[in-house]
Amino acid sequence: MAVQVGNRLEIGAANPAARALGLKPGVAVADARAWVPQVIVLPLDPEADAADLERLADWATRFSPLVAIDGTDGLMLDIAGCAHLWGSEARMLADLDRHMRRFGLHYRAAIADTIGAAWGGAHYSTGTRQVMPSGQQKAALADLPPAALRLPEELCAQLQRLGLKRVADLCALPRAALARRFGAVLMNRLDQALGGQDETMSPLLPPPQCYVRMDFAEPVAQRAGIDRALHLLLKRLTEALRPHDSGPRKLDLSCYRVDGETQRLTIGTARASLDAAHLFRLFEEKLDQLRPEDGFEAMRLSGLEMERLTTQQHDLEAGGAIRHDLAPLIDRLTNRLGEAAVHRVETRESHIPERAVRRLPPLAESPRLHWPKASQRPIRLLPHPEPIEAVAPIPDDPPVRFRWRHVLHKVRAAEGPERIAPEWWLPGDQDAEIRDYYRVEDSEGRRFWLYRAGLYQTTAAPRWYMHGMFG
Amino acid sequence: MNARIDLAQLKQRIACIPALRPESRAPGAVLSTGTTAIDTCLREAAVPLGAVHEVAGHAGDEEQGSAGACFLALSLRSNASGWIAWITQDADLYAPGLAAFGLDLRRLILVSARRDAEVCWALEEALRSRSLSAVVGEVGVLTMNASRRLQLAAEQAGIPCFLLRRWRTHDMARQQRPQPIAAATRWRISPQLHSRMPDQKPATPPELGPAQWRLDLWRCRNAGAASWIMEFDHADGQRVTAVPVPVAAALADRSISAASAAEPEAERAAAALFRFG
Repeated sequence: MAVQVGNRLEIGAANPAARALGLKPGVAVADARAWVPQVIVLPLDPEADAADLERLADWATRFSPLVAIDGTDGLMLDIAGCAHLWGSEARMLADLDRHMRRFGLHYRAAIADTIGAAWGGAHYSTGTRQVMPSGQQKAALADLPPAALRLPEELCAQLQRLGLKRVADLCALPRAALARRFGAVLMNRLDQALGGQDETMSPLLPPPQCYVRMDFAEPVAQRAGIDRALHLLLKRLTEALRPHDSGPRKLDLSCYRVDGETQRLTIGTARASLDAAHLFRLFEEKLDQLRPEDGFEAMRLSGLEMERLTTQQHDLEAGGAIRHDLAPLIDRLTNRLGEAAVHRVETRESHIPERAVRRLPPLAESPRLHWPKASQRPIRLLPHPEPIEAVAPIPDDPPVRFRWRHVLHKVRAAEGPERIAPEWWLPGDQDAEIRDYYRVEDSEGRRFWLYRAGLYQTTAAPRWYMHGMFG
Repeated sequence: MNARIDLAQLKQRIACIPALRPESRAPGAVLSTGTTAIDTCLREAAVPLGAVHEVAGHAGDEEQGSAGACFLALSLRSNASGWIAWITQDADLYAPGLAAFGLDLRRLILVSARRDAEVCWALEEALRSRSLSAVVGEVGVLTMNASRRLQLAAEQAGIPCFLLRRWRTHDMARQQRPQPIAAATRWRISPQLHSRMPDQKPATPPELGPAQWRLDLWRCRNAGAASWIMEFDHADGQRVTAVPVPVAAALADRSISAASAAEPEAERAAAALFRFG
């Protein structure tokens, strides 16, 4: 893989065969071609590599929900409590190996108690796969170079010059002297690797509060099989959560395809629910989006945003209707049409028509209702007032005719003006204009809500806008 | 082929369909609009509540459907005691305007869909959920099959499914309005010129009176067509009155094709013949 550095083409990455011939990163492509005429040079594409790494990270969630990307070429998995699903850590690693071979990827992996030790093991140990015995980090890292501790390059060079070529050499020195000589970085990294200091990773996806997973002996590609697996997963998840009296507001179904791709479906509910049949119906809408191709080898169902289950509430205002009953309908609608598509409204104390209405979540507590009762409001309000050509003979009079959307309307009757002043105390409203609203009836009997923007001026023609329709 | 005999045979066959026999229908749930004159007519025809009811605008209101929305806000008061879902495509329904017709906003759930098909889907979901007391859908193009599905769902749920037709263009309106759909009632509504208005030109335009609409019951399963002038006084928020329009009876028996062509003229003729107040 070649990369352009300045005006020369350098090797950016090389496979093990090339490295064995001495073609290391940093060597000029021209030199490489001279040494090994049959070398294959391809351009390096860091963006595609990053995208592939992300896909691999997605796939790796089959081992553990906590996956983080490390640098440009590494993945970090927190497998605490996951390994037993494979039998042991070694068997988990063997499963990883089987997949990586199938994908045709060269890799190195290590499992250890600490992030630092695993990193060092994966990057610098002699074998490609390694499980460090618990608590034995010091012994496992002893023969590795100091770079295995994730130290900055200059520091590594400095240590090299001083003859400190192995981690064991560092451990042999007194701590106080090390800290004084090489600074806190070295001490931190050493402690992180050996377990003296805690280190946390930031996973790509938020960790689920609970999840169930299912591995298939044979890849599942048929819809019937997927349906059945989902039924079972939902049953297991809801049964596991029932004693805790809590349920998820969001469910994530990850399907791991044989070829390493991961497909995800997410559903949300308005209220925490443990009704497996209802949750299945929400997923059912989306199952068509899955592309199993050669089949899925595993599926994982995670519950997110846990909430306490609420008992059914009788809402007396709505004629004794049980509001809880609405939740399944609202879930179905929001899952297909989007979160923002379903809402209720409350009216607020604002004279600006657009601001007098506020959206509420569909299952919100009783909305407050307040509006200027004395003045009439249209049944339709245009989201944005539309400019119209209007003819008004006298300054403070309603127009006698106006043209809106290419149609000329003659005004037969009118009422107004109702002056609505901007809410100048709000940040966005300082430059807003006064609006004089008129209710007018045209010669067909249709009634409109128009306004003139700003105070009447002799110099400029008044600007008129259409804002709404009465019946 | 003798059309008359075919018609007789058809009528016989229709009479055999149990769901369409008036006596087999469950008594009680009858559509009402909250006005005595119209409700008497609906009671006589035993118009079922659990059915599709179409409301379409006229005379320039095809696009906004604002007169239809007013009519629905009024009828929902008397037809729905629980939750109402109102499914729209344009975000222009204005809650304070609805509330002025006495609709309780606390019972209203607004749903926005992107296409006609989505509106129909949402309507069907809402009807099947059994947690609402009425649904309203603003829909443009509607196929016979889609309306049949809604009609079935509404029948099973026993709640009204109001379809407020909104057409983007006049051409679309002209083409879609006469299309047959499965519905118990099909209403046409248009704003009515205020009849108390003097015809001479005053210096400044006169004040608006109470809102008036001309309401036509264009198709109804067990009744002929009928028309009313409906009035609602915003100042007195509860009162809504309707006065039957006699001339519409003569226009009742139009065939669909003739109606679509002659509608504007017939409408104008009716308005000219009738002087209200």
